[in-house]
Amino acid sequence: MARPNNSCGRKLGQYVVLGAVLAAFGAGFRKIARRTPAAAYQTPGLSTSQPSVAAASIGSVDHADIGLRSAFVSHRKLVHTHAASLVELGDSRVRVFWYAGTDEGTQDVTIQTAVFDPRAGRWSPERMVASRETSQRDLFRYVKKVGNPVAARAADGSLWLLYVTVSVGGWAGSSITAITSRDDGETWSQARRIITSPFFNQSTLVKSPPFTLADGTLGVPVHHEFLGKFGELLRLDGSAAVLDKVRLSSGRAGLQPVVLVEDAQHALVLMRYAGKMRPNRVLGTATADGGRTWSPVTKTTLSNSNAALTGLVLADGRMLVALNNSEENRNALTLVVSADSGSTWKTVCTVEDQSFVKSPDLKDAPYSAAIERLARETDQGATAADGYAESVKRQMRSANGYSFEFSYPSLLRTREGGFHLVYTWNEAFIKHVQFSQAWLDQRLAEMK
Amino acid sequence: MTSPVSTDLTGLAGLALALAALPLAIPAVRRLPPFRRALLLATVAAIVLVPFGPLPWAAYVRGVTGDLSITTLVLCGGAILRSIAGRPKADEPPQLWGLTLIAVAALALYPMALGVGRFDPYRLGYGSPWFVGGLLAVALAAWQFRRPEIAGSLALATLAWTLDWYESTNLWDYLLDPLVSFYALGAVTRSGFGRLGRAGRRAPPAARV
Repeated sequence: MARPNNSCGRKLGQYVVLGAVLAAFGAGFRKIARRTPAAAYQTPGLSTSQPSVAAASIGSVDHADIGLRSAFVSHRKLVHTHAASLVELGDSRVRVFWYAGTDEGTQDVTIQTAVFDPRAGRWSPERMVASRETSQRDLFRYVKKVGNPVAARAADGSLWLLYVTVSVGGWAGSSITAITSRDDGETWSQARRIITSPFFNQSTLVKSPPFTLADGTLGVPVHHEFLGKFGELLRLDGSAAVLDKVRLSSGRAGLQPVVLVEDAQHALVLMRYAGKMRPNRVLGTATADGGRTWSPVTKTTLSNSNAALTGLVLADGRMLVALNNSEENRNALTLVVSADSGSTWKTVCTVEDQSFVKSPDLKDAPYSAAIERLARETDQGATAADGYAESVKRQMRSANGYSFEFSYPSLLRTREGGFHLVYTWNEAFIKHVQFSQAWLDQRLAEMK
Repeated sequence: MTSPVSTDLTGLAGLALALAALPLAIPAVRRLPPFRRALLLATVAAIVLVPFGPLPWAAYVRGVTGDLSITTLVLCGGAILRSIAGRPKADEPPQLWGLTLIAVAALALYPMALGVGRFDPYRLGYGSPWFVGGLLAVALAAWQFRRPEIAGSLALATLAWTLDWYESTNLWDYLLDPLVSFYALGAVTRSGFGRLGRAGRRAPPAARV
């Protein structure tokens, strides 16, 4: 008598499993039907664009004459300082984020912020936004280090800060963490982890500014650098959940994509070149169908020394890019413009230029003097006692002597039409350069 | 300590379950009476959730592994249930069909998702109807061929994805993780070599030339 009962039980169990399968997949299809459809790009507007420009060199750049004003954003001495990112606040002030600590990747690295008041022309004192401790407390998992903050303005007006956290290994082990603020960065939400990779969620990094899509979702350019090095484009909803991910390149050469949106259908992506095949050029790919497909990646005419770049699309459709326009070094920072969607580029201004100085020539005393002179050009009140030279020498000393580095630029164009550029200044400070639309117009007119 | 959100709780609970199953790999633990074995596993699960410094033990593991797939939890949960039911065996025959499926899926996913070629199969997990339809077909085929554990696992993973059980919005993360993938690849490879070895021993002398 037991056999028929067992058989009946097994059959019942089988149909329970079948019912569970149909119910679960039915729910899955229902979720798919409700998901946010793909959105077109948004023609660049003043509220979402991220422009800038800057200048200064070891010899003589008269900022007053050329309409540029510069200042140091960060002031902590003897720390490694890197990867600044700009965002405009609701009251037209400008906030910048960066990371700083004993050295790159050390556990005491924190995400810092300061605010620039354009009317007063002053930067606020810096303060900490996030650290590995606050991140691991919020994320309920071990975090070894933090880095690369990137700011964004969401469609609902909230301020977002994306940054990378690493639990194991180097930067290739990065994952993205997001925090949001409803009071323009005074207070922040609990951190949220963004899942972007199936392999322990390893190796997705942010660097370049996100942009708002037509439906209010956020496009976030990221890159992967574990086995391959390639660019990707994430699409996040208002809760920082990933809706989609598109691959921009493949192989082992493309990092830190910058998306330059021209209109609803057209965009150009420029990427840092991390490949080994010369010439070392910025990589480019473009879309003509709102990001559904991307052209094969090609080398542009812009030189690149495996260094980050940034850019924005001006109101007249021209593209403005800040980069180290060199195949070898990061000792010069240049502003270039393209009027033909990135096919050709012309130099607008060399913001920093120490390319004529050869490292073996740089002895201790002359290097200190050069740094102090550059610091005074940035901040007229700077003196030797301020410790700029000591801070820079700590970062820029190598077996080949001392060198200069002006890297990781971030550009912003404000609603009022002002431009701001911030960048890493010799890995020891964040430098800010401000310029006006009038100055830019003058430079662009001189180029014709 | 910040209050955990629901996905932190589910993530840590999943890790606690998996860590509790680890002692079953120790022969001495498998020889314990079922009640004491269950008590030991429950103790391990509780201990890994106790804060050590700023975080629970499981959170340190979570920093490395992330959240574990539903497939991993089904395997670990199954091992624990069999253990409590008193049938833990070191040489328990592997669920080869299921493990083969996991191994094949892992080989299809990870190389391309990590950069081999331009196609990214991981993208399908963000809600491709073709991907979910394909999984449904596999689940129905598994049910038809009397593999309810495969059909049930796929259903559970899909349901968990639908309910946003974890932080991830990608269905792949509910189906697979690197740990279960490595385990499946190892088990399938070992089983394949074992069969080859047995076939070789059974072959007639003439065939061994």
